[in-house]
Amino acid sequence: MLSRVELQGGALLQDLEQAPARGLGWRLLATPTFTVGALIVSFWVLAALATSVFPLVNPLGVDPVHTLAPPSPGHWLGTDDLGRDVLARVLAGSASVLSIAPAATLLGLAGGVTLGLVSGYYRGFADDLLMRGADILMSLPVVITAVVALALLGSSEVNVILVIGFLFTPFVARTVRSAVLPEREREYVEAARLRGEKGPFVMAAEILPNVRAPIIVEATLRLGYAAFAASTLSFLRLGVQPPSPDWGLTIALEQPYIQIAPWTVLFPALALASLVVGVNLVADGLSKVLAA
Amino acid sequence: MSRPLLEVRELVVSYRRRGVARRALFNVSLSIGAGEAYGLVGESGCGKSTLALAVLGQLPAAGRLESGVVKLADETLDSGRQKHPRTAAALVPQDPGSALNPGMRVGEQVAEVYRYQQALSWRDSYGRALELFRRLALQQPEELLRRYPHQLSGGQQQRIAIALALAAEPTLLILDEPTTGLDATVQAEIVDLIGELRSKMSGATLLISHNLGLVARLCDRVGVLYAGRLVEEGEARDLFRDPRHPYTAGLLRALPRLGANKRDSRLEPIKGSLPPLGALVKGCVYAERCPLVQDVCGKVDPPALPAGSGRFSRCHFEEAVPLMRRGQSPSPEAPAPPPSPAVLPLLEARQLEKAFGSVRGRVRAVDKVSLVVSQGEVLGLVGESGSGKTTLAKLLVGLLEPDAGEILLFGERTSGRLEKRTRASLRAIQMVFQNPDTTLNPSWTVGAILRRAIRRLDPGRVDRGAGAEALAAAVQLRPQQLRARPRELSGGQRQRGAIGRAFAGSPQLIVCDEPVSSLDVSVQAAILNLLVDIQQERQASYLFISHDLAVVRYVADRIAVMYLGAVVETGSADDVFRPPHHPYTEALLSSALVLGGEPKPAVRMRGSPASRGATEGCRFHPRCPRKLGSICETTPPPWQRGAEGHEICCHIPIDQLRIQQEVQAG
Repeated sequence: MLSRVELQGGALLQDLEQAPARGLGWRLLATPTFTVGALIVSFWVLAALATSVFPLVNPLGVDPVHTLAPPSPGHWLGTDDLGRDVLARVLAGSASVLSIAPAATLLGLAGGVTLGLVSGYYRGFADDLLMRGADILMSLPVVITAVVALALLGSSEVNVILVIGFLFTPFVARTVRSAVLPEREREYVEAARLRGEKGPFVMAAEILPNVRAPIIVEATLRLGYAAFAASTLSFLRLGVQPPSPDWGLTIALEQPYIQIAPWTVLFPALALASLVVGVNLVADGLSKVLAA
Repeated sequence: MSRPLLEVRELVVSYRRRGVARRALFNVSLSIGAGEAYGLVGESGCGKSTLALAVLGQLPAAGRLESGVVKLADETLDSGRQKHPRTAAALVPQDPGSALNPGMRVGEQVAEVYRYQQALSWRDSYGRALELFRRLALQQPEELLRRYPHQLSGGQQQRIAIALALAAEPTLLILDEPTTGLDATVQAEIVDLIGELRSKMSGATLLISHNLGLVARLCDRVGVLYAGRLVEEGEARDLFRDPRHPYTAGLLRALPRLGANKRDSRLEPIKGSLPPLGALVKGCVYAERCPLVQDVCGKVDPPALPAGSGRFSRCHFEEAVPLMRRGQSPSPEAPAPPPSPAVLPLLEARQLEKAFGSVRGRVRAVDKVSLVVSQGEVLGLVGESGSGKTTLAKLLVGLLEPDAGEILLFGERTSGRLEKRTRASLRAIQMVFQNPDTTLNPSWTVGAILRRAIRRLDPGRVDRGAGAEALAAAVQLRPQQLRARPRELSGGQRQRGAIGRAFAGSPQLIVCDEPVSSLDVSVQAAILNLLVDIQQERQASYLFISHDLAVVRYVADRIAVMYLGAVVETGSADDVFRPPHHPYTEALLSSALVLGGEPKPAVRMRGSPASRGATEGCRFHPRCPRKLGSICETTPPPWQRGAEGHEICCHIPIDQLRIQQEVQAG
């Protein structure tokens, strides 16, 4: 039943070994959620860069004759109550969100990664203390706490960054800690301790590179929340001040005209929504690819 | 052979990975008759489990039955109808913990099968489950029905998993590595059970294992799978005694035989490594690793050549296999001189204690253990899982802090805490770990790992690049592999890197915690050879922990046997392995699966180590097959001296132990 010659012509079948493993970049680009999100985000980044380098239309240029004009060939998205071009303001408005949100995220990341590593690696009393502190902070609603803090500190862009970054720290710390916990039990960490490495080295050089993936995903998610929080604060007039074309601020200032000139509010709102959705799509794509 | 119950013909299975189909099985044909037990052996990655899943009709989503047929009872699977759960076959998976639902009482899990498949009433289904538990010799079956999986020991879980498979009343029972995760003693019980079931069952058994001893013990016929091809098949007894394929012969020679020692024989690893999944090779797939290779092997794929009655071998030179030259033995260099006895103590542990807290109380993982490792010697540490071997190792290296007791290095007290130890004592003790997947930092290259180890452990050395290359050469890694990250290396290569890292600062003692138990047989042989060579070359000492008695016997000069946190016997390797033994050592030895020779009458322990040891008297008495009487329950046993350096902690006089055990061994 088995005495039969098996022939395997190498020419008949393609050589399977030669298919190389594709790199991370390729796999990301092959993920639709990532690609779409990345396109949206890069559009706003380009808009922010372009408008701050070559402002074709001055977003602050007042035109008292054409106030609250509907969209037209001259003003594609219409004008606002002072006759400023809505398109120019929407494009330029991305600059403030795209500087505040990443800065706040980086701040939260720096604090959260440090605390998460310390908490997860040393465990014990430090862990208990830090995590109970994080619980307290996380139980506070971000926006309300930020409002109170900014009322006390005074409203400025720098303060918005500091407050959002501070409030995001415990969220990042939690994620990092939970990624560190299984890593610290691995044998390479024991090997490092056996050659007398100190805690900071083990955390920064041994463990940190292996918890990159969850940190990257968390950072992207935080970026989306930060953009939203920053806009909320400017909407509440606690962040960026007029005459900045910031989206949140614009929505707040143009709100009285929503009945007669909805374009003044609609387009900044859509811009903000698209940015947040775009960032979240990127986060989604990243987490899919990095988890695989 | 009666009419085949399972017939696999020309089976080809492939897996799609990143868009490319890679073949895992190449035209595999085999058949199993009613009442027959067929063993499938081969290293990991050879396609054993794939074959089982294909037979079950449960290939994973990425798997595809490309061509061929699987006929089982009246059902046929082929490329048109391939993923179809079948009731004629049942699988006992490797990890019983994952086969059982953790949230369901085990009785219900078994009874459910009867209710679902045979539409029995609730009461009847439980009756049948109880009956089945009795048949499987499960103790206190009524009570067991109400237990949850986490309340059972590993051996009991595996029995329940077997019960679950048998409840479906399959005509084919597939056992996929049924004992791999179990201790030797529990493994022996499961082997006894399977052997007994076999004699009662009319159906067939397909046993998949990398453990040749297990297959030899349980199976009638054996097929050897290599890189997805069935390279040899025959009666179990003939095949293991007289292998006719160089791969089978290589596997057998790579195994340390129970009783073999590094001084009198050298292990023979198979050179090279398994071709990657789906590799298409012109000619014989084994040619590049084969010692008998000739020109024709690279050109023509060998057909299944008959090699005696009911046997075939897919080798052009199957007749030459029995004449295959033994690799290097008798070893060309003079055998290493036996270590000079009673040299300076290097490391001494005195009355070490460590307990772990838990809700129900404290478990004494290491309980007043004292031991000595001398310079240049290999001390083997054996015992079941849960006996405290790894805890003891971590106490000695300082990864855990002892609750009491002291550790002396070169006669001087050293701190139990790693962070408080001096540079010199850190440098003196290093460790090689069990798991090759996590022993190296996945983000670092091998070169960076070695250079960092040199920087910390050999600070006087300036040219760390050259040092890393020298270390790589010492552990037989190629210089290019210094640039590789761990995931680009095989398990054996990673373990070589880890050994190199441990030797970076010329340590005096290396604690090897199960360094080869996650590796395949042929790789294991190579790593053991490396460990033995490098130890002799650098005059280091090892504390060598393993549950595999043959491996410990092979590398160790002295052996300490641990049971539930305490050492119960120490002595030279020769003394520990011949009577008199401690009754626990005797049971351990008796449960080892030995290839070749008739199985000896077995000494089996009662219960499992999970039923914690006695708090008074001898801790082994609840399981001891040679228990004397009440003295064992009340009085801690004394240490008795046998041959020089051989000590046994038991009430039975040592001469009496010797007589009883020699009679038992026949």
